[in-house]
Amino acid sequence: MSSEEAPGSSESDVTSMSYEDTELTLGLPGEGRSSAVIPALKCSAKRGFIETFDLNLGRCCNTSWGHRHSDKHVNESGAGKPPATKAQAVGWPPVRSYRQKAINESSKLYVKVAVDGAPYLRKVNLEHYSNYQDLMKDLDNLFTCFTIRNSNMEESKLMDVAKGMEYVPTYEDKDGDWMLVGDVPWKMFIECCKRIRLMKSSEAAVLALGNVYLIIPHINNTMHICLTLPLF
Amino acid sequence: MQKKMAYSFPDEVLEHVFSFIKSHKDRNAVSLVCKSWYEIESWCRRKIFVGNCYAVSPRMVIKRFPEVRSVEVKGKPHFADFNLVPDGWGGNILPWIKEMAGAYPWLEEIRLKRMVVTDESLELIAKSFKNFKVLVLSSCEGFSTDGLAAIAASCKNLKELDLRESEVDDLSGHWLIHFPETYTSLVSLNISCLGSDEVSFSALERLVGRCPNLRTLRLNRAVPLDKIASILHRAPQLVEFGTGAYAAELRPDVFSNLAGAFSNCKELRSLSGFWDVVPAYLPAIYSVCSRLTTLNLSYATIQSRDLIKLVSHCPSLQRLLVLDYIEDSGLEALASSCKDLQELRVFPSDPFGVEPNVSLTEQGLVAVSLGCPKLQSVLYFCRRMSNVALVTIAQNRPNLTHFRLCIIEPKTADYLTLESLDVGFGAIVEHCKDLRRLSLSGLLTDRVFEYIGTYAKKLEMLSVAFAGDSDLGLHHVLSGCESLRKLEIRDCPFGDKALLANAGKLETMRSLWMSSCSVSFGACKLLGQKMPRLNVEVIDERAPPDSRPERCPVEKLYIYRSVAGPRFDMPPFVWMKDEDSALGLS
Repeated sequence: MSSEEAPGSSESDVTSMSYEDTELTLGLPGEGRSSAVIPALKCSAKRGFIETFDLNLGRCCNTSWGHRHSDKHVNESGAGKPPATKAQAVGWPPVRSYRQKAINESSKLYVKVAVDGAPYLRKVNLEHYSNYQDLMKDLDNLFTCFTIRNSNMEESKLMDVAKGMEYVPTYEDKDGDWMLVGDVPWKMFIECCKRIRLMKSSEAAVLALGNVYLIIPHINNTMHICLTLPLF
Repeated sequence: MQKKMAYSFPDEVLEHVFSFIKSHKDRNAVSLVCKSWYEIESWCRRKIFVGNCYAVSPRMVIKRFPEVRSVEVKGKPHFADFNLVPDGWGGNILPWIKEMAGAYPWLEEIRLKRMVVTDESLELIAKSFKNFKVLVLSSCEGFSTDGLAAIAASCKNLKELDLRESEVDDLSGHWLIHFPETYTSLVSLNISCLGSDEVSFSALERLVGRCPNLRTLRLNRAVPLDKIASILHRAPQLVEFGTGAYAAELRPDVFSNLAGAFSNCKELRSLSGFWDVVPAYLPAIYSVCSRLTTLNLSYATIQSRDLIKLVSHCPSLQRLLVLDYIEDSGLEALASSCKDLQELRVFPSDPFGVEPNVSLTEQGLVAVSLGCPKLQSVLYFCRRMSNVALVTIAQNRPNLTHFRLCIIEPKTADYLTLESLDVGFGAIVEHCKDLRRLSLSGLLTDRVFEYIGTYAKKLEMLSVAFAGDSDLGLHHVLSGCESLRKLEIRDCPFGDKALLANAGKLETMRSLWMSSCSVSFGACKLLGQKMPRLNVEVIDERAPPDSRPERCPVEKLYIYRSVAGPRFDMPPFVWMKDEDSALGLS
């Protein structure tokens, strides 16, 4: 599902695997699949956790808390790498906590923006905008060769605008679901948006059935269905 | 011949001569010349510096120096900055304030670092010193805005209130209002550590407006960008300014107000703050850039291209703090634009990430070492290093005095040769003969300590982590580094032998910190018994160290020289030798 990753990375290799290969299993690392190290992906991250958990039962006792260089052995066995942040020695690297806090607070609203057909991604800081309009204006500037918005766009009209636009703005939320940009109030949006994808409308079929919207984007060869319903 | 000539100077003459001698080292030397010089120097010393609050007691200080006006005290060891010292360990300033309140009614200045400062201490300061002028709390904690309100309300002659990097409990942003309307003597205010806690902006504006001598103002993140112009218009004489969050919607009127306000500040030499930067607002500071000597962008999460644009406007820059977003390309631009650069600090934007998120390598540092002939002080976080790069840096910059390198992954080898970095760091200590401070990282064997012991004769502070093979490493350092004052070590295989063999050395140093090493409890006990003028603190949060066999390694060890004997405020997780076995101290 990650068409935005650079071609040739092992993540895109994994996405070309069939669905069965990505299914969760509880086997020991290395059994029943290729020996290549599988980097963190949504599914493999979960698998990696389970594998690490199994390994921890056997191996962890000797490792004193805080000496994380033994994690290297875990990875070399071909297990899925645990997610990008791992257990660290206390106070290492030696960065003061107020610095960590300051940087974490400011970078959490940076999201990647992918546009179908563009060879590279951009990053925007959602904190810089106060409404959808400003965001779309900026995205337009960043990807000037693609028409991505109707110039009269307002929050309430986004649903209809999808039909007339060349690109449909979608975003991945905290639950990993792909949603249409504009459904929720701006403040809620910036808190749950993890990344943005401007999808070619030819690839996205948007059906408006009363209050139900069905988005069926095509991402490589897998189908991903997302259903959004208003809260009653 | 008048043998007694030297002694016939009236005391007042000597006192006048001594008043020109400012440095602590020199004054200490003066006091050792003879008894009368000792006595005269003692009662005319106005400033004292206590590098370790437990090395001496406040009563002893007051007894020797009765006329002090300025006090500087440091508390916790440096590794407390990285959460290695448990909460409650100590370093409370209150006993000092209580003694000084009675003894030094004319005290003007208090500067504290890594100390626990409660509101009670601040209220006592506010009440006790009628001519109080300077309060600097660096990396302190334990107080709230209530304590600040007391200072603001009572200290009519306050010139400086600097809370740099302290942790303040925010109870109310209105503490600023406690500065009376008649108060106009503020020269320096640093509240940048207050973060997103709101301060009363109108009180701040009025305060700034009525203090004509204000030269340093560092705001906190909560102060929005669109308020900067009004502050700067009230204080165009500022020399040092720290913004709040440097972000707002792009509006031409806001931009031009901001740019206009900055251009009015002809004396501005130092800028900081820059949280949440919107790059489009950076050109507002261009008018002051050519005069800037210090720029702290270490919170600015902006990309290399914006950083390059900015530093290329700052040819007078002497000090730059920045995130690794600057990347190698930005450091190359820095090297060609800023020929006066003396200090560079590059902080990691993603210290816990597994993969590098930016293109910053050893090359950036090499470029700066080549292009900046005055570079003396370096703090650099990166993910890879090579011996050849370190040797190049050492050869380019023999004038380095501070070199702190943090390769983020412990025990990282030279990425080109896969060898240790012994040779690289060896070159640093060999070429940089005036090196005073060194922090090591990467894959290192005992060899690097042999180099350090051999060459680093001016080294005063050494920080070591995940390095070395055996006690020999520690022995090289303790036996070779003649000027060593502070040694801090974590996660190294150093044990009892080197420590006990160099016990005498420890009395010539301020302190030694060792955590997650292999020093046994038995060795700590022995050291404590053998060396009465050392406080040997064993810090163990798991269980009392004497509940385990003596050969078990201690969790943390903090050894410091002291004439005050064992301290009285030890928490349960700190063990020191029995009072019974301590020699009596006068």
